[in-house]
Amino acid sequence: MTVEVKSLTFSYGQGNVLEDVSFTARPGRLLALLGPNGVGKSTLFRCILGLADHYSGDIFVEGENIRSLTSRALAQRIAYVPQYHYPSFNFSVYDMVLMGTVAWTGGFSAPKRRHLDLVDQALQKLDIDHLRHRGYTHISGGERQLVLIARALVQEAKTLVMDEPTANLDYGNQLKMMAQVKELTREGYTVIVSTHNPDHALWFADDILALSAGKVLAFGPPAQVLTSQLISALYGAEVHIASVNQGKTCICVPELDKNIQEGEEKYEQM
Amino acid sequence: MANKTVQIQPGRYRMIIIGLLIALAGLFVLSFLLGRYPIPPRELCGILLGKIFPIEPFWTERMEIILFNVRLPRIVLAACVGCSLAAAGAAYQGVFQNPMAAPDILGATNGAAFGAALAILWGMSKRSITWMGFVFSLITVALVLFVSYKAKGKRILSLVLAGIMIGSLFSAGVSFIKLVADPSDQLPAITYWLMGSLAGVKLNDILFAVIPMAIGLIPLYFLRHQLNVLTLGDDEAKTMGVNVKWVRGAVIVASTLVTAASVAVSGVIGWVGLVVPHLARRLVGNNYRYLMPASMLSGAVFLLLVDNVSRNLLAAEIPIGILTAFVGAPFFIYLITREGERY
Repeated sequence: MTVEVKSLTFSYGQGNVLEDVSFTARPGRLLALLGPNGVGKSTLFRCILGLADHYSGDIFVEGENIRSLTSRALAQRIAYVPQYHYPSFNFSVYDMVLMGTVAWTGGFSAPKRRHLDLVDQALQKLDIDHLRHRGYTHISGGERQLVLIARALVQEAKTLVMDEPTANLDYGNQLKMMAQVKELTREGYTVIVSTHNPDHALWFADDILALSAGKVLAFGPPAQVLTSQLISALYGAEVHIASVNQGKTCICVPELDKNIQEGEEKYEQM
Repeated sequence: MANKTVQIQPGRYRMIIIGLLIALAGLFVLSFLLGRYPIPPRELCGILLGKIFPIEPFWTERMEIILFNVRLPRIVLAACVGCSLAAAGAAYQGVFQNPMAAPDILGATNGAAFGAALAILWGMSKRSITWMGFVFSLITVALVLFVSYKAKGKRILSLVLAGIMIGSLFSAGVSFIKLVADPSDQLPAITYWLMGSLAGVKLNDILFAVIPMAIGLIPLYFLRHQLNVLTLGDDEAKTMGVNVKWVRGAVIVASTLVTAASVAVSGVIGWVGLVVPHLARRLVGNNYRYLMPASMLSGAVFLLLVDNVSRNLLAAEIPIGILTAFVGAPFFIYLITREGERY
């Protein structure tokens, strides 16, 4: 499903957290959201997910304004994958994933056969079927993140919004996670992922949305917009974008001398 | 423990539910037999069957009166109150995402105590004391909801804080009433009511309590799938399509109704709403699909059991609220220290 954000402006009272943000996320394309801490990424997500509604501008999902959708209808279109967490009660992995069907079962009814099948498929697809009877709080962070993705798949929404799915994962799991996310994109999901790692954006994203102080700094394919200038503007870090592996892969290489020097200068000024 | 499975198999769940039903039925019959005035099994069957078939009475009339007017209301109410308090406790634990939540978290118990104490102070009838307890319990929770609605900030936190504040206001009110109450008869009556007891409940108390209990327990049973999602937090539940405001509102209203009805007829019976859901969590896990029915049945079994002890252990009746605390607190300590926990 195409998600279209049009001149979105949001404020918590003083100053705009988001200012005139416009972009489009399309099916089959992975949109990576880049930006330093506190730049409004979470607020943008909250607006798209219908958790914050006193914004100006419009958000459309497949042509429908999300203001006109109930939380249930919105959940059938957009699924949220939060960072893995520690819930108050330890549910089994199976039960956790099954909860994703509540947007369809609704009201007072129990999940039907069809929903249970969906859970089985999702568990197999993400290769966590062997964990189904384990407690959600007893498994590793990477496994937990996969459980939350499985839950979003069961929700049968064609748009996935993921909040830093690689946060707190080790190097190997980060790559596996991003590959998994990319795989879902290939299947036709519209995926919006926030990340703190520009390399992930370079390697996996089809589009990049760079936010700085609530404004869109750049939007477009990584090859075009993800430059050393952009990284510098976003994070104040000097990097060099190198091409390795016979030009097949680009990678951010920090210019350590410069960064360290700058850091020292700042330190001296203090 | 990392490899421990926390998923309950449907077969095991069915066994547990059947086991609880058998325990409840067994206790139900046993409770008729036990008591100061013994009714032998043969007479019990005779009296019960005599209601349906024309049997020449071979029992005393006194037996029949005791059975229907004293023991039956008490047994039925013990089971209903236990079921209600456990269901409300389990529901509140989910809604507030807090395993330590209990039915009195929104001040329902304090409000009922104030209403009942006021009724005793004004020398009202037993009937009116029950009504005052019920109405004040509802008023208290309505006040709490109103205050938390006005409060800024996180909804759950403001609900809990408002519950504590309004609850302690009413409990100060109870203290004041005790201060001005006549120490020769009113004060003991209030104190006794606060201890919680099912002694002296009548047939019409069943009618009084069962209707609000049914109105509350039915939605609690059917909303249990949504309740699961609510335990993950408001935002997450909302992105999963749950109408958080509506579901939480419905669960709070339903839980308040059953708690108010329970407290109004039985006085303050603590611990049931906290301990029984935890016992049920051990039995069937945290999924409310299984937890809610298991809590309801365990609550009924538990309170019926404790009530039997309360009326049969000593020559004088021990108020059941004291016993649930005596049983509940150590039992809870056992639950949280035991190995192989299901949490």
